[in-house]
Amino acid sequence: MSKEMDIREFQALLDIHGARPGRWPRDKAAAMHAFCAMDGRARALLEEARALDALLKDSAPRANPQLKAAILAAATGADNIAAIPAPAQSRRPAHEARKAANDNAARRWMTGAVLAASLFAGVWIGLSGLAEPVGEALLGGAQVAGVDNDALGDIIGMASAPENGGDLL
Amino acid sequence: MPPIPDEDLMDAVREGDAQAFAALLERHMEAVRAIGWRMLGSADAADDLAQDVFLRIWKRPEGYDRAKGRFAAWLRRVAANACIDRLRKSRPGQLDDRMGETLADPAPGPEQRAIESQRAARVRAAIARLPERQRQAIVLAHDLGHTNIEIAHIMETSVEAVEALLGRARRKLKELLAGELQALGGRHGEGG
Repeated sequence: MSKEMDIREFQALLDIHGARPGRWPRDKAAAMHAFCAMDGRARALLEEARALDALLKDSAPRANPQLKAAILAAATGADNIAAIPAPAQSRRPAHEARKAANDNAARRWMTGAVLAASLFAGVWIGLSGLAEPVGEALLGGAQVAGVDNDALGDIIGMASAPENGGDLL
Repeated sequence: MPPIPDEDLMDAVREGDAQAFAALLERHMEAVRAIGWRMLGSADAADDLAQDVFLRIWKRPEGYDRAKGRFAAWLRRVAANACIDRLRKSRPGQLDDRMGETLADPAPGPEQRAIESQRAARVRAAIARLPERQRQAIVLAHDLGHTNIEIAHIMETSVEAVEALLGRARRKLKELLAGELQALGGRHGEGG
């Protein structure tokens, strides 16, 4: 079988697969070993291929132990794997946590919008001469002509207080 | 207990499972960095690449479809394509200049360590001079230990084309690193 291999084929195979026999094609490995055993030039080529493999191995990238934590922190907010809850607990809760965070954000936005609108209305009522009609429209015809900005602020404060369900506005 | 397959972890990531994401990061981050390091030529660029690739996975896990193959192969393809995009965006010549600076990075310490560090820098510089596809094939074969069949799948080409790329790459590296090989060969010879 080794007679079928010549130095050019041997070299071509080493160029493709390198010096590690584990990477050599199964149907060629035996012939390569046999050729190497009987040909000094083949052994020299194998040494050269080993040296190239060694150079490639020695120049391989260095690990960066900090990067993993940085990526985790950027993606999930946790700065290490141990800080992440166990999968059985985290799978659904993490998904729900994202949804809950979005819901909370929406709720806060709504609260802010209502408060801002109320404040704007209060200022407008207080400063403009249109207090009566606007106040009636806003508060269902209650007697608000005399309501000043402080009183309106108290109303807003009560409505937004947590004990009054303010964050659900 | 056998490890959870990457593909199952990706299903979990789709549901927001941060620990599944961490497990994928643990398994594959260095492979993505290796591709970035060899193809982009610096540790910083490799770190940026790894961060971009994994953040994209976390934000858009639906980008991976298990019907199209193994996660590991898909990830390496994504990383290699991201490198190629970056290389194409950089001006010609810019990469080699930058690498010249980055790779001339002698580590402090004993003399032998410095020599080895300089040798490693020359090897990295030689790899950087290879055409993109040859460089990619070398990284996948030598740094990441993929078989030629796997490389063909990752690079979306034939096994024969991979063999041609590896053959040309190693011949070119032998030419570029002739001095290093001679020094190493002499040492090997002395050692038996």
